Amino acid sequence: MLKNWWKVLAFLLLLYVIAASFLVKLGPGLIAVDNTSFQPGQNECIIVGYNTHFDAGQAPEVYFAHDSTYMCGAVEEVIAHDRIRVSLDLPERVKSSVFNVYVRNTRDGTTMLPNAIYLEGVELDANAEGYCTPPVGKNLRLAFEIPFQPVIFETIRNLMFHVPMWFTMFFIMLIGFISSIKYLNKPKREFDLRAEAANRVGITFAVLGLITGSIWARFTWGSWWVNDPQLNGALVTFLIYVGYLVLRAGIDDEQKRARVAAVFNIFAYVILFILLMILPRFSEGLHPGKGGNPGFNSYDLDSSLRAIFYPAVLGWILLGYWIYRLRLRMNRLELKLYYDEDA
Amino acid sequence: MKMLKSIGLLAVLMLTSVFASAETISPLEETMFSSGKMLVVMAVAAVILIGIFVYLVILDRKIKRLENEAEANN
Repeated sequence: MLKNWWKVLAFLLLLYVIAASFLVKLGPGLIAVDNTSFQPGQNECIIVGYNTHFDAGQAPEVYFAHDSTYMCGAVEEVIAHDRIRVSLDLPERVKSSVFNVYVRNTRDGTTMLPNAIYLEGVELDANAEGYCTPPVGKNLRLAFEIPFQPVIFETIRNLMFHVPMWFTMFFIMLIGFISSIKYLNKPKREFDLRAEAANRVGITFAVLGLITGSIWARFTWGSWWVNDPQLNGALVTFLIYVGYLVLRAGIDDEQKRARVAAVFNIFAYVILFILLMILPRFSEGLHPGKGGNPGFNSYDLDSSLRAIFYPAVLGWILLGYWIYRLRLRMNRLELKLYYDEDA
Repeated sequence: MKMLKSIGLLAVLMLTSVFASAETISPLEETMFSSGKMLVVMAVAAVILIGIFVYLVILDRKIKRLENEAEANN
């Protein structure tokens, strides 16, 4: 039991992660505005929220904002906890033709829908003044809840499932990479077995990452596959590692196979690193943090998300490592069975 | 070899979906958008669970085969 503490840890971490991922409530946010094009004069629209409490406490305040230009909407009617009817008197001259919508109430704090309305028939004037006083400060919410993001909605929970697949793949393929270097340094069968087991398990996690990413992309980005540098990079590395298995299957001589595969694997890991960690920094794409850090920055993760995400990464990596150990033990057994004399 | 075949098949399937990605939304897909897209999370979690179990079943079978051969050798 004590020897297998990390397996117990993996179980407990994943139990916590799955429970938290499904049970922690999504914070309040705005989903849509039913009328998106406004003309000068009186306009009316219904703002649809998610997990909001428009009907609790005081009536919410509504702002249409672009940079530092604010226009105050008037709440005509609170229809339900997630629905309000709002009117806006739009002037002729405005600074911008696209405005975000902010709804602020005591229970939910400030919720926002970016680029919610488009103005038609207005005169653009960079010197146009603001039309009402901007909201003071931002209501801080201290609740332990998953932050609401436009378009993503509840699927932000996939952060605890899809993303750790890639972390796990990186970690397990790193084991394979190190084993291959060790093999070239000192040709022992054990290192070849480790590299092979690691790459097979790594490919499994890459496949899971690709499929889950594809499903997530369909319902947030709109297509099963989009031209994102990280997606194409992931597919290419997946095919390279499949090439590793094909290469192994094609060489009969055991020592030669191990040596060639080790060299191939070192190149494969370097390419994996370049395609998934370096190139996405220099190109535009849909994954978070493009044109900079391909991972996360302080704006993408808040503290309650971190409290679930970091245990998720550790838990999935430990589970992947466990599966890798099983595969390795099987490889050793196979070797012992077929080459009993020198095992 | 069998695993290679299935991986190859998967690659072909994924590549075809790249080129044949339909822009229309079927009624089945429509339901995925309901209740804040929560079903997408369920689908993703299910895929991972199924994937890991399939891998374990394959591993199980290979170990079974090794056990049988070890028994035959003795």
